[in-house]
Amino acid sequence: MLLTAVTFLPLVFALLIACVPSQQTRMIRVASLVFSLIVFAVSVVLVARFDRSTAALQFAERLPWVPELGISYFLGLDGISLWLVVLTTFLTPVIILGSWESISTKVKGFHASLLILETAMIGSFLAMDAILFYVFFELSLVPMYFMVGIWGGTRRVYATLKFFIYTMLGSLMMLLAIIYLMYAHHDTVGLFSASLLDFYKLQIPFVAGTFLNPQTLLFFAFALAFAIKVPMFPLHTWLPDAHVEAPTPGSVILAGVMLKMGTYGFMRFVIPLFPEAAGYWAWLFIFLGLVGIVYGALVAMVQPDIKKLVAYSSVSHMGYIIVGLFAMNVYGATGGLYQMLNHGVSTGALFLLVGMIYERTHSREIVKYGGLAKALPIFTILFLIVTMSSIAVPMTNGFVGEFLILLGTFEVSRVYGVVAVTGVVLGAAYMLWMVKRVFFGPAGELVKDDHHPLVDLNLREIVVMAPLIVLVFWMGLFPNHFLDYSKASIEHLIQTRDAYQLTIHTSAAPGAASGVTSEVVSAAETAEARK
Amino acid sequence: MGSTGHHHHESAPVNLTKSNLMFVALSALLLGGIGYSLRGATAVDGLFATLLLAPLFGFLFNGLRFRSPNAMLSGTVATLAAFVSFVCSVLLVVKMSGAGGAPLSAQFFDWMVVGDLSVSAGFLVDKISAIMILVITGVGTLIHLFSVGYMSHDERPSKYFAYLNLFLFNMLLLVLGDNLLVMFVGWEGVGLCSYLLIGFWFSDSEKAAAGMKAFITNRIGDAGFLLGIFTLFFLFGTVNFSEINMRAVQFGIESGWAGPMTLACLFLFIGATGKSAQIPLYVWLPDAMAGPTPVSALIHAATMVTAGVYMIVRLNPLFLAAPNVLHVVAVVGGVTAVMAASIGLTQWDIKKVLAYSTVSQLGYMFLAAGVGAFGAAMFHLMTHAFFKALMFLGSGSVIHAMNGEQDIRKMGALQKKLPITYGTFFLGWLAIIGMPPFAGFFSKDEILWLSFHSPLGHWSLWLLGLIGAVMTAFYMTRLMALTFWGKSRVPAGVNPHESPLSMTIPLMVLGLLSVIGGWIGIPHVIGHALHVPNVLEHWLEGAIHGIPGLQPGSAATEIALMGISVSLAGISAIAAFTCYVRRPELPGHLAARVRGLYDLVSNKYFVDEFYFGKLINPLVEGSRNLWAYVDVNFIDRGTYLVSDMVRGVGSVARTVQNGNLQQYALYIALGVAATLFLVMR
Repeated sequence: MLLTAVTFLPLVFALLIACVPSQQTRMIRVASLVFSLIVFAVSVVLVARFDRSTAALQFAERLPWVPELGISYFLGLDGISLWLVVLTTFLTPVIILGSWESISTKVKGFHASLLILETAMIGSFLAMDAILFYVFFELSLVPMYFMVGIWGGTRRVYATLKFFIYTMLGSLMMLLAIIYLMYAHHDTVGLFSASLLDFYKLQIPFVAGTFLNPQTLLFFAFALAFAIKVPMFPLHTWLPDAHVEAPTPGSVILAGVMLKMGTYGFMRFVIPLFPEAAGYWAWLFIFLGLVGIVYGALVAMVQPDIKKLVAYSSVSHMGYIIVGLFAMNVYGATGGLYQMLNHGVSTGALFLLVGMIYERTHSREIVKYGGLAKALPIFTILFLIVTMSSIAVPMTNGFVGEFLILLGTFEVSRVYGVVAVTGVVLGAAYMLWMVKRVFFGPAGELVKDDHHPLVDLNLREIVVMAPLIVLVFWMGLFPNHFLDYSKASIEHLIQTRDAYQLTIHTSAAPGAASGVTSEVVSAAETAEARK
Repeated sequence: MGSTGHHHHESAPVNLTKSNLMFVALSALLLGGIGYSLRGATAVDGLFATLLLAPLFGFLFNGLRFRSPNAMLSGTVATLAAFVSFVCSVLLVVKMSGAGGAPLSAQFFDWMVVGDLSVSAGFLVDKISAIMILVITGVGTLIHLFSVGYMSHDERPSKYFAYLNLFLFNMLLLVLGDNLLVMFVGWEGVGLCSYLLIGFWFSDSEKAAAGMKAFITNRIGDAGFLLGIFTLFFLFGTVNFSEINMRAVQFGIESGWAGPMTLACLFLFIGATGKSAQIPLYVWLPDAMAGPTPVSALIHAATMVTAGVYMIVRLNPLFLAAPNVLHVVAVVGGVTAVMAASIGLTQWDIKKVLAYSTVSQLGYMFLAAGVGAFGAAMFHLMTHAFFKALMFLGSGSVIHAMNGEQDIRKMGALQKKLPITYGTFFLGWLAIIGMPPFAGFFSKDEILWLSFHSPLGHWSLWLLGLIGAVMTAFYMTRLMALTFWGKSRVPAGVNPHESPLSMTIPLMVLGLLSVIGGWIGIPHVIGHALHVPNVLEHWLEGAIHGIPGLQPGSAATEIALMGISVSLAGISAIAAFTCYVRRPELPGHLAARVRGLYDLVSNKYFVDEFYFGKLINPLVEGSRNLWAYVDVNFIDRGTYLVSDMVRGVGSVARTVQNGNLQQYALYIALGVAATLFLVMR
């Protein structure tokens, strides 16, 4: 029941919040914070009980949903999804505390949306049934849509529409592909199934070099949905607009978690489901990833708006992850997964910081700043630490991920490695140039004292940033504390990619309630029996 | 020094207690962690830990009270931290040589373990890194001490000392790491500290820009370093230094240009040109003089900039296996030595002269490494650390005395006003122009001799070294003359005064080292007659591979070359003395004679202009175009086109988009249901 608990507790809490009178904003905030911390605590229990030695699905829960179609309520956790779930449950309370003062209208709706969004995101990472995944994947769009549309900036309608059209377009293709796979399962086994575990077993015909064969078409259908979500070049233009118009918490959740639903999709669906097509077309994705790294960095460099700069830096960073995943070796995949977490921490932190300064000056135009370091020293120190993490200075989290990705890329081809490594230089260039213009030099028009003197971070804001800063160094100095949990799953994915299978962990996880285990076993048995 | 007392009452007690509490908490955490990881540790582990962590504690202490204007307290703590590291270094080196010179190592924790890659936080003191840690912590302590006086009037001395300690920590990581990755951690860490310290007075845009330039230029080198690590890892399956060196010997010598070891060495050398300011990445170092002068002495002369040389020496068996790269190293080093020296001839800023001199002297070290004379490279690294740190600190003392003035045209005749600064600078001057028996003579002579005599060398390399030496003697004498000798050009209102003891003691110690520092490496042709052994050569035996195929040279040739270089340097110094003291009108006439050439050199060969005009600005401009044309005009236009087409179909859809949460949820549920229905039909 742990997975159901961690998935649906936020939804239950959202309903509870909905019962609180709208005027009780303080109560709503405190309750949301406590609730989100409870969810985080549940996810920590997951970590504590997680068996690191296996690549099999743990804590699996499976109940029939639409048995005629083989659709089930099927949740499972492995080393690929574990930290993404924890990232989600970790960022949610950070966001709630971070938006304590910045969200002042429709407080109830905001917190309810955020908690519903949490359910949708966690559900996407845990769903092992393709239809269930699709439901969560789509559900996540709705609260996000409102977050930008209601609490967003002046061009929010434009941005939300762009965001919605792009992502809907992609996921529709994916839905068609899922339905095709359900039929394919019916054709081979005689029964419908939407279980990923069954999908993995399908042999989907593949012809190298042409498009019109099932595996290639399915591969691209899924890849398109996830590529838009990531977003990969050239499907990225919705992202800067969405970020600029989104309120700070929306940006944090968008960059911190929602983009990872795309890269996670590549790891969970695209690469293991369509191994031949993924292998054959890897060059294309590495190429687009490399273009994304360089293009994102170059365009970030010339942005006049801090937030847009950070948004384009995401395009560059997500390019690294794509390249790492399609390197299809253990270094690239590990680095890719780690970079998903790093990006969640660092870019989440950057958006929070940009939000904090925006609350003070109501501007994000770089030219209006200058000399901020003198006015806001604590803010500056935190911003510099996060910058170092973002440009992957060793001893921060960013370095571990970027190093492993580059190592994996280099193993595929020296040329790819050399192109990818230019991102190391360009990343430093756009971030440090921005830092120079915003923080150093003489005081800019927004920093001068005459209008309203700027106040450095207050205790609440420091508390919001503290866990992120701790993670920057913890993940940078002791990556094994995290990677040990993912090792078995990643190695399993890389080593058996051509005939990827996922089993359900049958032996009781340490300390797991026996009832859960037997339930899992029986579900697995029924699944076996159907064949 | 005395001027700090009145600041005491200004620092709010609340702030102090808060930062003290934080320091105690963080220290307790750190100590707990260290204690935990040192379970069952040996005395050597403890020494390593203390050596590395003392500066880290100093950093935390001063970093948390960065607002404090108390230079005395911050400086004392920071200097003590550096001194503790120095004591540990001495103890470690003593322990090592006591145990027959076998390397000492410590493994603290596994850092990254992925696939076949296994990197631990492992550290190693051998005879090469022993020299480095002694220089870094020894000279480092002196420079910390000097800074106490130098920074006493600054607004943020605590922040300064925090950065300085952090630098020391990273520099020690760099030289002590037993594998390429730990070295890289320190490598980027010192770059970060360099960035922070160059831009220390960040309110000045130019200084902030100089810091940024340093970081980004270094990053180009770092990218090369990373590629080198990748190549070596996939070649040898390890990033550990001793294993790489062992395998390199087993692999034998690679003759072509495309071999993996050659490629790896080339990549690593790109890293070295960044960190150690060689062509084509040297451009950041002269700008780095924007930082406080003790920083220039410590980071941009004595320690960090020598990291590239150290890296090559550390991997000497690997580089010997790739002789083509060694040729590249030697040529780049030799050409850099001459080019930078020539720019030094025309500079008017006291620190810029020293900066180009540093680039030039680093070129000598690479020249040495390139001809396989790794011992000579380490030797010159060490003596240069002494005399260049001395001269930078001396220039700091001059600048301090001149109320911040750095233009040597506004100085002159300072020898009377600043006797200790002058006296010690004088020793440094003799050392750098290579006058026997001062430190620089022995190390530079060994480089010149081996670049001529080594099978990997060539007479043309020797000639480059000789031209560089002649220019060095000229620009350093010019600097001496314009600063300390001749007539005073000090503007009215400036009353130069000698610096306090805390600043002059480091000068005196470094002055002494600039005299005797070279005596540990006396060449056999001289040492034989005097019955003095070459201690350094003996020390490095076994740690450094000998030059392959080196024949015993003719003593007569060696003496003759020595005579040529010393006498030419002497003549050059006398010429400079004549030009700038006896007949000050002469340099102007000479410059006017060769106006075009002079302009070219004094404008630093327009290299910065080329980089900005032809590379950086076009890149930024091109990026603007990318954004405008690809993102905004191409991709987005395409999107609108699609959405317009959709709109035609979707005019119905618009009526249902009314922004109602429940309705949207309903639509999605309906959509899923409809799909299911379609599938079931």
